[in-house]
Amino acid sequence: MDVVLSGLGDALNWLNVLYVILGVSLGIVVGCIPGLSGPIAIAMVIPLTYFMPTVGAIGFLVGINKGGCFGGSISAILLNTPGAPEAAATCFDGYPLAKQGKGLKAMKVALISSVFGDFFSTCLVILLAGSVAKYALKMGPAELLSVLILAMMLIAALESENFFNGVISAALGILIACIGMEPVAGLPRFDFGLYQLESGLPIATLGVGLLAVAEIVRQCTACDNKECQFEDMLSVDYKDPKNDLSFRELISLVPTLIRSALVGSGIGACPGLGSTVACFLSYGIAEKAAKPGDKFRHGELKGVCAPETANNAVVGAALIPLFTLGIPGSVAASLLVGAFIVHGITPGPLMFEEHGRTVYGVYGSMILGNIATLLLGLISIRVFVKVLDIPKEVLFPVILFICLMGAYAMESDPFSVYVMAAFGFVGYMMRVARFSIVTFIIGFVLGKSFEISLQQTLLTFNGDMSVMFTSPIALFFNLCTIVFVCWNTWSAIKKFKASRRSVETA
Amino acid sequence: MYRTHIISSLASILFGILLIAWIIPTQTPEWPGYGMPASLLPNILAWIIIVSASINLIKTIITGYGKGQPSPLSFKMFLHLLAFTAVLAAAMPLMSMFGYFIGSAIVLAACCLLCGERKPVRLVIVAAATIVVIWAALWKGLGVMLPGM
Repeated sequence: MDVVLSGLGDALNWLNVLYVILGVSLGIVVGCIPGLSGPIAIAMVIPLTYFMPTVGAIGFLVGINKGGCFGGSISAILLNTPGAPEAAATCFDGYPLAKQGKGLKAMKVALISSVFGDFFSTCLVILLAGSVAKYALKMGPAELLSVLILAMMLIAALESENFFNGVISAALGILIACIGMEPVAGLPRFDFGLYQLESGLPIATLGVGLLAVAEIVRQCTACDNKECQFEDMLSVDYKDPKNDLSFRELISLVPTLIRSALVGSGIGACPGLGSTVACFLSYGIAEKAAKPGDKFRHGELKGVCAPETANNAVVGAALIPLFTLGIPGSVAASLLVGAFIVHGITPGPLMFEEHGRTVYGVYGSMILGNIATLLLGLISIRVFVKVLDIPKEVLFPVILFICLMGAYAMESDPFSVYVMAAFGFVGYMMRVARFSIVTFIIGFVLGKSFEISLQQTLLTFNGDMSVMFTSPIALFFNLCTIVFVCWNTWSAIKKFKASRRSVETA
Repeated sequence: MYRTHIISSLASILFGILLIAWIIPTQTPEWPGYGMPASLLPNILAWIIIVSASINLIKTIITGYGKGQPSPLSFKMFLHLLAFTAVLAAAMPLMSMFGYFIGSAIVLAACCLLCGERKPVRLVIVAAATIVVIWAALWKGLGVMLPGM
């Protein structure tokens, strides 16, 4: 108990509080910039932490990650530009809400969801780290494959307007994910002799091109030769009652919050899946669980709540395997390994015995980080929303330039900018031909992991795929897939019957 | 819109055929003798694209799906799109040729014009302020490499 109290006392030290606040502030600012994200900022500032006390250093880095995760949602909602890859799904409903003049409301929901998801997974880390890690360790390739099959089924069901366009979009997304090293021999595939393609295409560049560039160009192509006539959008009035988040609306989000926090925590505890998978999976589940009257893709608060809760839940949960087994669950967690080692701590089961006080100090910093995200978030959304008052002829070129520099900054290679421009063109053409960009991006995110898990399962079990039904965890996810397919088919039949009935009545 | 559906379906079929006939055979490594061949998943995806696009094409022709709806893309809009793409693609060569500040100024000015900015003073202020803020934030603040620096 003494260790716990001294650790929490370390966390509440004024210098540590300052570091956490600084980290969260930096994270929010960096998260807002398309192309830059929490992990990039962590990588950049790790050298600075050499001069900080251990708890302060880890609190500072964890604060950046928490702030970065929330910051990504700000540009996703206001500019349709995901500041970080894990905020891509937030665009689907956040931006339509901003277009309806409810940008502030969407950001309030994003903030509440982010803080809830983060707090939920932080509590999980503190209370259940050991037992959850035991199950996470049992997630082999077959189990990961079954999770990905479930996610793939969710993708296929996302496109409701034209099913075959959805299938083509998802197939194209997976095909683009095939660019890079193939998983068996590690030889380049679809590289066309370009060394930049050998490591595949980064999701952030692709997302910025498909979502932000394509959307800005779409609005600008409606210009005549003299002056642009932009869509009447993105006006936010603080006093407008439609930007108030009522208690009733908050209560209606509770099931989505809890479900998404569980999804995010589960995904975060499994090394290798990451927050991008979590946010899309959570969005897919929320969309499929939608009640009549929910307007997903047209400005639904649950569509902002689900991905934001899930991707923030990953932040804390990714530390479960790191603290208990020494296995990082995400890119940010793997960067934290470096920071721990710099301060003479090796993450793993022995950390609790050898550096118990520091561990509880880090736990305290994580809770402090949540409070800082909430307070700084409330201040920052009021500042950032001012962006919307800027004339679009000024705002759009600036966003395009930020996207351009963000794409370059990711790899310090002009090739990323060409990729962004090319996908801006592709995204525009896909919108014109009514192909789903959402399914394309999800296909891309899951494609690589799917192929790797499939290959690993085939190689590990000598081509015997029966393990998919003998492993209890894989069997659980496969049963979930079967239940989901049956539910989806049943709801499609129900919808078809209802539409036929309405036609007959008319 | 009907014509758009026909063209997009035909383009998808053509792309699928191109994948199977040329891209996959020339751009995937040989099977090492274990695991799954590197060309298997792309081949399956190519066939999925061809079959889905064919179904879409037949469905559009039979039902006349999209007839009567206006085309979402005019020739002028397509030219505008090409201009945007060209400016974004030319940004890096311009910055490496003229340096970050001059190259960025040209790119931002072109973007402002394409976005409909017609006030020269505002255009200059926006371009200059953006370039300096990005330089200060990324290069000076975060130590991120900038093109042409």
